[in-house]
Amino acid sequence: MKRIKTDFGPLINDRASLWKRVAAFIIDLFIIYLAVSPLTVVLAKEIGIDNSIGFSTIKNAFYDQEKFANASRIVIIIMATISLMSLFYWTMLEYYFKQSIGKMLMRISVVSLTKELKLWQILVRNITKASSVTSLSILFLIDIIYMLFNANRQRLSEVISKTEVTNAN
Amino acid sequence: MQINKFLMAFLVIAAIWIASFGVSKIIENENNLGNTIMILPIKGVIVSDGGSTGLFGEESTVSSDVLEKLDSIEGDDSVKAVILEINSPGGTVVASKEIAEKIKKLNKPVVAWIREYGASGAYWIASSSDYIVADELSVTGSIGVIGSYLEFSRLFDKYGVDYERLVAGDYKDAGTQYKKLTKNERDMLQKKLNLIHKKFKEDVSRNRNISSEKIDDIANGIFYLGYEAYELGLVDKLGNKEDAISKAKELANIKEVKIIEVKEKRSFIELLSRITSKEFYYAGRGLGDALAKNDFGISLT
Repeated sequence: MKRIKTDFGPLINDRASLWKRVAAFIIDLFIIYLAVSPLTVVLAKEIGIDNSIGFSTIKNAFYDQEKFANASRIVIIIMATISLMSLFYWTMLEYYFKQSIGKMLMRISVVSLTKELKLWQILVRNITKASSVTSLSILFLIDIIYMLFNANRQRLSEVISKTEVTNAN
Repeated sequence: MQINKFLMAFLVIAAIWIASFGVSKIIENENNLGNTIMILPIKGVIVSDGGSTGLFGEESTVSSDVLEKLDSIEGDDSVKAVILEINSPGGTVVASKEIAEKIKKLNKPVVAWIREYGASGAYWIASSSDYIVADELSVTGSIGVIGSYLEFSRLFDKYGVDYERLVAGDYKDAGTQYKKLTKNERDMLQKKLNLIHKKFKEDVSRNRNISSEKIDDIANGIFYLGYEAYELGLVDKLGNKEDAISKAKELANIKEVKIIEVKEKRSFIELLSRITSKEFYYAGRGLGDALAKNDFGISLT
């Protein structure tokens, strides 16, 4: 176990492993997609994944330019809504319990490198994750790449928010 | 504390689900157009595949595109009826027949609205609909089959070009442009055309409930103006778009309806290629004329 000293608070001596964090993320994604299933059904219709065709499906939006633009608009609205709901999920649970459901199951939790965990920290650390829920976000990609090269295995947003993920007691 | 944690998690998920449900309902309500009638264009020459068939990017209808659209319309419960906006001189046999058969099997009322032209293959398609509206001066009918082509053997003779015939199967090059048809070849090809014509007539006879004797009289390739076609029973009504919509509503048994016209999206590149191909044609034609008149002092021989 590595011990690193931080400027702001307690020693972090039990950092959560990468595979636990990835597993927790996948579990959370699964739960989020279950929770937003009414929206994903509408999204699937709009992009023509299912066999029934709504008027605004992008795939079959040959009706006219207005319908095509409308379909695109609806898809963007749905994706943005799902991202916001993801952010709500992570923020609510990590702020009050320092753990999302995925983290609870993997027995890891969020700790603040300052005295106490604040709401802004939770929001900042989760914004890039939430933005990547519906499409690969460049911000989340930067986050992940930074983490791979960071000695503390912190994502860039975690460095900014001064948080880390450790094994829960 | 553990129970509170899971309870809180459950409440968060429930709140998200409820919010998603609400948003999805709002989106579906916004998108709901109610009852609709689709106006599907059949314009230009009807072909099986590819884009335009003309040299210069002339408009055409590709049967595979139409079939795809009809499949979509068939699966869409909000579409109560279809109007085929026909402005086509006809097209290839299989392409026209494919669309006609699909129209017949469609589970919704179909009204054919013939504008300038609804002849030959386009009429085949129209005849398979439930009702035909045409203008009194529309050109329709032309229930026949054409297989004519240019034959260049004498031109080749003039310039000392020979056609070397190498075939296995006597009729393999029947219909080639490089030699004249033999009597047997002509008879064979004519038989094929007659078979296609027979199928065409039978379909129209069945679709329009016209006796085979009468259809033999009228389906001799002649085209008819709208009012003539009306008298012969080839169209149901002389009218316009409003008449077609009105009939579609009646057949679908609906009063309030939204009309949606299917339009092809054309990319900028497609539009540009159409314009430039026409320009190049006229440029080439002008050059060709000038050369032929020997305006440049250049000889072609």
